[in-house]
Amino acid sequence: MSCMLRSLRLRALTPDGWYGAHLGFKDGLNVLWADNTMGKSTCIQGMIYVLGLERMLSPRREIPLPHAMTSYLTTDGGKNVRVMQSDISLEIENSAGVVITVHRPVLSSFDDRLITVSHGPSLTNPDDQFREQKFFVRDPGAAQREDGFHYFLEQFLGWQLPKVRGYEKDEVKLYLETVFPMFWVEQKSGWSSIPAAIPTYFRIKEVHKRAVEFILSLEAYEIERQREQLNERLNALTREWEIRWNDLGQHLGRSGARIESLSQRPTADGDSLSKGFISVATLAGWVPLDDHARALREKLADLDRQEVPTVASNAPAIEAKLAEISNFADELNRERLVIKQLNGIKRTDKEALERRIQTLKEDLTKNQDVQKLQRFSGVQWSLSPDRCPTCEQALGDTLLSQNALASVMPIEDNISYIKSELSMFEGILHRENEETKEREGKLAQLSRDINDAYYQIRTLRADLVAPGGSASASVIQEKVMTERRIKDFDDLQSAFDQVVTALEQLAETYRDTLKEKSELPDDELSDSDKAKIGKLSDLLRAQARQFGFSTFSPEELSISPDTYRPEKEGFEIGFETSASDAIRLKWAYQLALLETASSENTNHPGLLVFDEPRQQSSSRVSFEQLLKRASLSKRRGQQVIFSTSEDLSVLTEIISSLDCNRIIFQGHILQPLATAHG
Amino acid sequence: MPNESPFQAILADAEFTFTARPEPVAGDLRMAWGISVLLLSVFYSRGKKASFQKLQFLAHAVRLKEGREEATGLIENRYRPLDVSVRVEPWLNRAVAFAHSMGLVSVNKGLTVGLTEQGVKAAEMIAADGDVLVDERVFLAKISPRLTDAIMKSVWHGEELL
Repeated sequence: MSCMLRSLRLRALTPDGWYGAHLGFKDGLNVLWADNTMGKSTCIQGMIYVLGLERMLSPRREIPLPHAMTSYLTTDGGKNVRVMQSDISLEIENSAGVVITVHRPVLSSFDDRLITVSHGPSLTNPDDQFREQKFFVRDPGAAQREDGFHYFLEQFLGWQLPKVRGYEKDEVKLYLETVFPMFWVEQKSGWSSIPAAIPTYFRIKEVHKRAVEFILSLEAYEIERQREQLNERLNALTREWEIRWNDLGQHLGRSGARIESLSQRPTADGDSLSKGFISVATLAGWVPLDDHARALREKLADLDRQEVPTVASNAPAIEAKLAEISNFADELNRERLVIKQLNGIKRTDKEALERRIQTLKEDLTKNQDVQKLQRFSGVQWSLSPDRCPTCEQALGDTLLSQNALASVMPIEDNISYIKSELSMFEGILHRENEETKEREGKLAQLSRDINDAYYQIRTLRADLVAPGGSASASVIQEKVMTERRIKDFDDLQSAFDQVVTALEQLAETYRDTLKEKSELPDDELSDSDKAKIGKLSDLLRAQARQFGFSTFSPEELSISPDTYRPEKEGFEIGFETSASDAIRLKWAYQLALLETASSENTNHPGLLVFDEPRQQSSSRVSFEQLLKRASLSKRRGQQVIFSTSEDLSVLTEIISSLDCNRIIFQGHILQPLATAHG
Repeated sequence: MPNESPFQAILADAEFTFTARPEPVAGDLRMAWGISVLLLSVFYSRGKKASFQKLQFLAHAVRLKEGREEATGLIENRYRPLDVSVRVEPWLNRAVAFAHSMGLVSVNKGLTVGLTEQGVKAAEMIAADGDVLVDERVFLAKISPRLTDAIMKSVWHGEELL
């Protein structure tokens, strides 16, 4: 994973002809020097602009470039000339050695959202022809659509930016603008924070952590994301399970049956599901469906064995039977009436209970409000005085008359008191609901039996008026009815079995998901993550020492595994550091990220840009050490670009002994060009 | 009885002591609730002051959902002044007394209540916290500014009956 800046060209067309600059960058340390206001920022910000990353600096949609590129430029002679047209080109190389040149107009008749990519080093070899491709930036979709430049740049860098959680959306792409500040420290706000000044207006949750995790290629984010996905899957499983269970329960309820011993919530123990069974409401109470069906089958077998009698031979039996069934039907009707009446009473009870629960909930809210309000207070007031402000008498916390209560329950106790009342009433309501369900089952069973009884009565009566020689219809009918019932119960059983099979599959998925979840590391960081953070901490300490960090011993520094910021023995480092140490720490952190990239597998591009590294805030010795350390990047095949306006004599002395590329401009960086190609 | 529950046996020999337990108080009879609601009622009124008549009406209406609905209906002309229930809440006067002694409100000629500088600060603090007195605040912010003395008079005096 690497990216090198190769060459930069700035051009501006004026009435006096073309002005411009051509900067070449090399591996290792590059020091860009020019005096203040001579165009250093134009170069560094120009590179941000050409890559379409201006939203890294501000959410505003204006061109973040000084006037030299947008309105007028000052010549070395001190003359201001108008800029009529301008553009910027940057040549970059990726880890595969592929070089592209990115062009973007600044002031031109073209749309400044358009970026042209030449697939080759068109700045270094201006005479060669390269394939060109156009992309857009700054519009919605620039990071996601194929014709978006940031989508292209992401591929070019070999990155795959993750989808992360946003405040407004569940998934937001981690934008390039939030990652670049990790290795591109911009002069205005870039120096203000560690790990980096990352724009927050993309509304990404914990964007600083996400950026560090991405740059270091930590598994932490992936682990966290997996954990969340697994939880979502578990929730979905639970919902599906409950829906199936409830549907089955309702289906059985309509036939006066209910589910027994079948877990209502997902279980990983699939075997326990085979213990589930159906029970049926009968006159003798709830009976397992198997037993009931067996009894019916025996009855049917008995009926089958008997020969169907004729009406004449069977008349007395029919009459007796008719009387018996009529009585039985009366009995059932009475029972049904009793249950219906009870249901009516219970419905009123239930409403009263629900009202009571609602009132308690309201009172609970008020009490909780009181608890919060008691914490509000000013210097001279509180919202619940415990003494009378006038006469200093002790006060009970109530607006009743002070004599009304012997002692007032403290608010915390009052809240738990209401909570326990609530849970009691909710318990009663739950029990009532269960009993209602039970009664509904019983009612369904009674209706079924009453219908059967009336049907029997009708056939028995028909038998009595039928010719004496015909076969007794009531006996046949009883057989038919028994068969039908057996079939109904068989249907119930097969519906039940189907649901159990489905639940068994769910249980299996549930078990697998739980297993997957338990295999995730307990804390957020994986072992390799911890190794990387450890390495980063080591490098941070070593550099802090080298740069002369002195607020406390650099040995006490480490990187927090929670925030990825430097900390001292578990405490975030805040204002206690001196301004110079804060800058040293920032140098150390950004360089440590770069150096970690050479030995660990990270997404760091191996590039570090420091725009005005605030050496004034530090000391010369520290600055020298910083440059020295940065120059080692060449050995690792990395690139560091410093732009500075440090006193040139001091700088020359420091860099004279260093292996680095000097890019020094004595006057204005933008100079007259002989041709448009510079 | 030989088959008494074992618990009964234990209890029979036990020594009993009785301790007075503090009594629970409804949330809306607590000082903090009453004083806060008073402050908000005045805070949302025009000119940061309100008459006792209005405060009594609000104090009764704000407590329950039904009351809030009636008062809302009154200013939206869905209810007539005689349709809404009114009551003198004894706690309101105590809340005013405490708030006054703490320097949060001023009482003018026994007729109107206004907020002191401190009272405005306290009310702003409560109003700014989105987690506390949610229903009450929404109600008072909507109703208080629109409840004029004329409406209050017709509610309390029942002039339509005459």
